[in-house]
Amino acid sequence: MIWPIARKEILENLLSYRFFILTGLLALLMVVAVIVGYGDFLQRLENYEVLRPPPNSPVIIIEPTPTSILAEGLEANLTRLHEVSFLGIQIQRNQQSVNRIFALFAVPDMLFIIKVVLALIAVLFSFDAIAFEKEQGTLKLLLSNGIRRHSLILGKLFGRFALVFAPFAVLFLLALLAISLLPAVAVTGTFWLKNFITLLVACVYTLLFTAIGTFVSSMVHRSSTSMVIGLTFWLLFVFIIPNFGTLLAKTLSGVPTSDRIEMEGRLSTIQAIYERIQREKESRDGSEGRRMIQQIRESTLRLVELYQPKMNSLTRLTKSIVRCSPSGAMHFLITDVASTGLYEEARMKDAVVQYVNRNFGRINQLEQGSPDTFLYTRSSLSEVLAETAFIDILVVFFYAAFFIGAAYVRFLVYDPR
Amino acid sequence: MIQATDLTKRYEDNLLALDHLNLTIQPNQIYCLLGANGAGKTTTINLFFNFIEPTSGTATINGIDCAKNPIEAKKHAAYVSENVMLYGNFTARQNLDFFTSLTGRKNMRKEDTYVVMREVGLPERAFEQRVKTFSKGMRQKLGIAIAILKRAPALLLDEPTSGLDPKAAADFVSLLFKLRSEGKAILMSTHDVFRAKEVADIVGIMKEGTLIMEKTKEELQYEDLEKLYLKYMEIG
Repeated sequence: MIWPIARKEILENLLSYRFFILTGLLALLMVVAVIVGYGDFLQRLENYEVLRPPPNSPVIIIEPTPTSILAEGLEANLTRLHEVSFLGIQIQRNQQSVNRIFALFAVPDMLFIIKVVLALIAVLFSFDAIAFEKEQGTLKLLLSNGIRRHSLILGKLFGRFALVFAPFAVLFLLALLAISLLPAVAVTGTFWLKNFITLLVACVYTLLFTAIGTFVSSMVHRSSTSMVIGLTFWLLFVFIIPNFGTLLAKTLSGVPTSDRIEMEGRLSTIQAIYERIQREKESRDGSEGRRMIQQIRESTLRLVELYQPKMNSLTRLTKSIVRCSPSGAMHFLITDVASTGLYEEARMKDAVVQYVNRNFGRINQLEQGSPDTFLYTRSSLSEVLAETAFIDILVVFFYAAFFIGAAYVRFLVYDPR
Repeated sequence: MIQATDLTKRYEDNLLALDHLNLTIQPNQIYCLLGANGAGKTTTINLFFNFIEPTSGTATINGIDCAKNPIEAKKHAAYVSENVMLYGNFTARQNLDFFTSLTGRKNMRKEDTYVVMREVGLPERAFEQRVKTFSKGMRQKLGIAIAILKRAPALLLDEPTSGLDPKAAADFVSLLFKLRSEGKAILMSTHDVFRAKEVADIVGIMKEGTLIMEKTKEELQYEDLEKLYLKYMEIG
């Protein structure tokens, strides 16, 4: 009996202005996201081609990944140029987005669309699932037909979910197809697989927000009230918890800002240079340069030793708090799957630090020989799933199951009068 | 057959909405429940459809307990409310198709729905028209068409003629007679004393949750139902 209800929900809403307007907006945003994402990808690719160092050069830059077109994440940081010298690792500032207007606003990449817009559309399509049936007087007629309540609630849930997700899935696949046909994008099986996972996650995420709307709708008797509560849930999960979580973690951990750490590093460097100048006045045997480099290196290592564990614990704490929101978990999940997330950044940092540790002497002519060429391969899907994404998948699935269950249980005792 | 035995409903706020109601409606019978607002008429119908649980007593349809086996009981009963509301974006036929599909009937032919819509007196032009353009009378007719297609032996109507114009109300009464002649047991709640006298085989008057009078058509033949109703309303 679930199918006739789901079919009714689909047909009824397909004929509504709500469907045309929201789906039209979704399509428009997705087109913009692909254009902007591709533009930024091209910019990064161009930078990479220009800055790509010759072999055995102490300059580090990695190739941008096409998955960043849809989920930019920390790609701008990952693809920055790292120069290694006696001063340590100097990282260039971000390269500019192709459209400076988006520097002022949030970049509407596909991840933003899934996290914010798709969730909002799901709530807007489901907040009246039950309450409006009651308001317009059709709920009693429906229930008088011997239909089981669980069939009704599940039919409504899946019908409305299909209305939101089916157009998105079609548009998403068209976007992937368009990207795969674009010049400069080398599409591999991994690209398809990662984006297929993204689509699956978006599917569960849409179902979750549809369940939230349906649950809220079965809590109250007026669709206007239901809309307000539904939007509150949306705001809470999409914006408040992730942003508050980040702030809270920072306050709790007491880790200084990266600017302050950098400043401390610079002070140590200046100190070392000053001391060298003083010593050179006294002795002129040429060993002072080496001593200065060693001194800078040691102070940099001390800073790393001091702050790295704190930074790591801040990241862990932030992730734990942000994961209280399914939107936060979904954000981590999709960026990690796209190899543009926190996991990739940490992995890349490790690789850079190891490279510097291996080659510091050679780069600064403290040892003989030329440095290695920096080689880096982005994380594989299986690695990401095993190391970090699994817990995010669990969080998103847990919330989806919880709200489906809540809507189901609540409707069983809903008063249709 | 529709039957209530000591059917009682007390709400959470301790309001006694229905107090030991006993009534029986046989096939080919129309039972009219008369009463003021809050007398317990709608509560009675709500209990038969298990929209609310009884505090005590039983409501049965064709011998099936509506509280213990609501899904099965509802298969034997059709419901028409005071203000039949359907899906406005659907046409009359699509609404019929949908509600019929809920009863388990599949592959309804277009012609089958047309036959029923003609039977209830809907104009041909309305068959493929969106329901949001329908008048209340047309929606009530469509509500009856849904009930007919359900082929349920019992029909429960909650103030179905309220707000209908005289022509629409007369058409509605004709439909009720037709359904009665087909063997349906019909329970209709109403405020309308004249309509009750016109259609009912049995009239019950309710006040504050209690059935205070029940008379057959024959018993009412030489009585003025309006006066009787007012007299009962004034007592106590």
